[in-house]
Amino acid sequence: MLKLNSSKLIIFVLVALSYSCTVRKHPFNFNRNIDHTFLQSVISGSKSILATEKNATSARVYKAGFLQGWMEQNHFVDWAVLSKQRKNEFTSYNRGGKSEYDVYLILFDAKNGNKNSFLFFTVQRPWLETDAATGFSPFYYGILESRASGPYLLADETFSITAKGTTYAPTIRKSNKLYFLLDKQYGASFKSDSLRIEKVVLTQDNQLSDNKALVISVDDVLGDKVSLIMRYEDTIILKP
Amino acid sequence: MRKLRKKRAKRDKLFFLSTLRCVEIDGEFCVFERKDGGWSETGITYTTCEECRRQTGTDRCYSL
Repeated sequence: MLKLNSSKLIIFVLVALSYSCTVRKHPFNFNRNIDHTFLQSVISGSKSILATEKNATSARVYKAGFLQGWMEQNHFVDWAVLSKQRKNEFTSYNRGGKSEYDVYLILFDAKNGNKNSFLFFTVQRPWLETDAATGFSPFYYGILESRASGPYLLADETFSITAKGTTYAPTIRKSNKLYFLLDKQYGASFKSDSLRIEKVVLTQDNQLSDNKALVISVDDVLGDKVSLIMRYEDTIILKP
Repeated sequence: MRKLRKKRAKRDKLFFLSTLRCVEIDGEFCVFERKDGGWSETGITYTTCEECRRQTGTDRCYSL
């Protein structure tokens, strides 16, 4: 019969509880982990039918920030996620926070008439911590298309990332078609200062709209008139 | 008794996360405490990072 010392059992239960209840943090820093090596591995390992440019030499980084902070809601002060541009709507007397969400759009330059490819993802991190992440959205890879009717990002490849020591690498690529419709009033090209995603269109069969394409208004979901504005931050040189 | 206290301190360090944080906002160092999975302002402020760290026992100061 298995005999367990009671103190050992208590320690085991405490460890199990603390492990299951605490939010797992992963060491992650955008500048360190999403560097030219990572971006080149995204391009070279891609099986995308649309994003065929393999010789991109630079990438422009666009970013939007969201904060989960304290906000007055129906006579209570509770957590709310808002764009950092609306930080004045958080309570002035409690400037704390829970999570921050960094939304990144990376546009790759294109040669010989190829289309610009893009990488779109979100990183969730604890409030004010820049060297840790608590979650990652899927990474969407595809092309930037600009038509007379309106510009959009069309992703046909989705993947997640996995840690390999101190670096990250893309996992198995999945074929998944998704449109991110851009607001015409903002930029729509590789050299734009800002880009704004207005709507997301899921073309594949889904539980909500069956076999019809599902349109999600980003502004409605985030409760803001102009919510997802991604501004130019930096350029990463891929090949000198 | 001293041994037991030492043991308890070691256990607390192992299982519990830090509960206070110094954050620099507009030139002053505000103390935040853990609340509902995030951080909430206590209203206590210090003029320097060192003073805030010493009073709260934290290892670093964050900036907003």
